[in-house]
Amino acid sequence: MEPEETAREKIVLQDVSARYVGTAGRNGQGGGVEVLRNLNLTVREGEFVSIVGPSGCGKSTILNLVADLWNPLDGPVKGTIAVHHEHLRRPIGYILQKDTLFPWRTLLENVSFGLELHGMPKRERYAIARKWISRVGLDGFEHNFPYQLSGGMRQRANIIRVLAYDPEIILMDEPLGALDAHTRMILQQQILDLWAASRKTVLFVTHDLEEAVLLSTRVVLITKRPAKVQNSRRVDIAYPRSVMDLKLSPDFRSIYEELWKEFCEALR
Amino acid sequence: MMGKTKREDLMVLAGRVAVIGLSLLVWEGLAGGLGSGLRVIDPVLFSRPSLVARDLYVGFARGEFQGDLIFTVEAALAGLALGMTTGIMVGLLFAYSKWLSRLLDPLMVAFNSLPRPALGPVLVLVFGLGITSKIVLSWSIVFFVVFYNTYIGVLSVDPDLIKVTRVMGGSKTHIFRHVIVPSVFSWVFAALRVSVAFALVGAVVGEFVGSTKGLGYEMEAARGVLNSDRVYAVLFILMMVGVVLTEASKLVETRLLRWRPPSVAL
Repeated sequence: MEPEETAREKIVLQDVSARYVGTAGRNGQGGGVEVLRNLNLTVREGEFVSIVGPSGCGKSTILNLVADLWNPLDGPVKGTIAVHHEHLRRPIGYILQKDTLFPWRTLLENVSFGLELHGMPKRERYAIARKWISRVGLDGFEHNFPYQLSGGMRQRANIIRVLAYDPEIILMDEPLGALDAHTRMILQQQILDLWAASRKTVLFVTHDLEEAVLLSTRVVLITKRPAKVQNSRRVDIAYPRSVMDLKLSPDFRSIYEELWKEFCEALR
Repeated sequence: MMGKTKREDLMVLAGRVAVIGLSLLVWEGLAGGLGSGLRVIDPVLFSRPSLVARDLYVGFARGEFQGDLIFTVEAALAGLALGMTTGIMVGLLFAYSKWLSRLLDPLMVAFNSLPRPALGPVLVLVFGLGITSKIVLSWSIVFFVVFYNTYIGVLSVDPDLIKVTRVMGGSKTHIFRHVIVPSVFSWVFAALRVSVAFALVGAVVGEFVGSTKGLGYEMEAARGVLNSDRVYAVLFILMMVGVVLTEASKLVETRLLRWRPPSVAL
């Protein structure tokens, strides 16, 4: 069931330190912020790892480094960052908190965008996109533009746009952060169901510990800036999980409370 | 609900017709028409709706307007097309090359500050009385509108869209095609109506300055012989050309920018 410690390593961060200098540094004024210090993190195939930490602690930096979106001009990075993937063309999917749908594309065109980039003919990619649209209950909105969708619908589209092109590794940066509590819970359940069906390698960033325990196979707590790993804890709860039931289960509560205490220590 | 709005629409339409009809009648009456014998406004200077209508009819029947109409519309549309293509190209060039934009920015500002009708005499001097000088004048106005919109279009691209495209494996070409170009188009086509209006201004002003054809030329010639009926007839044709072109560009705009929330679409 749970990925073994012997499963293949997909993401390896070894002694990674990063300093963000931003525009001040570019102008040669030095200084900057030390974001990561000697951070070690390994994500194995089939794991759903959540990174939890105080806001502004560098969680997004970790994802940007993995996605190769760190601009050398942003600041110096030390250590080793390795992402192991089999097919070169679709290694990573990245879901941001803000929905990044193309405003000039319909839902269908947005969801099939990744496949279009990889040269799949229209008929095929639309068929795949339709399947995903229907899986998250957005049928009937295929030809709507993003402005005609609600926030929750847009975020759902944002998520399936990445899933539709079938990347090996999925990075999510607080994808549910901007949603109301109710929509958030529905989407948590949908992420759980989608993940349980595909068992992709996921690196998920959130500031919500409860969400992390609900969704993940492993929770990684990181400290205040400069961030390093404070604790890494397996969540031994079987899938498929139900968000509503899980919140009341003793297994969930005990893991949550254990992590909560540490989380609070990190905040101090 | 639906019935009510339809009735309202009809009333608005009826109101409009009444206002226009009444204004025409007053103009007609005060200028000595309708058997009033009044001379409150001088028909030699202001003509009369009935005289203008007759001149329009006669002019079109004799085929006096057609050539001018085609000439002017052709000049305006050619200026528009050239202005849009070159504006987009140079705008992209400037947005992509910081060096170029820094080098030439003062020049662009200076040219754009120049009241463009002032270029008319120079252009007629250089390109002659034919259609070329009108096209160039029209282009010189449209170009800057499109150029600045393109430039802003590139600069206002959402960096997250570029990020997402890159992570999905998109190349620089993909980013250009799927992110930059649609963003630029949305800015350029949002300014289409303004561009079309300016294109027409350029063509007509060019014809005033020096021409052998065109609605502007026809009007100028009629003014020279105090034929006020013809002056107003041409004015009316120009107004209709403007309306048609504006409505057409509205159609293009709403078609191409239908992904925009209605409150943003102007």
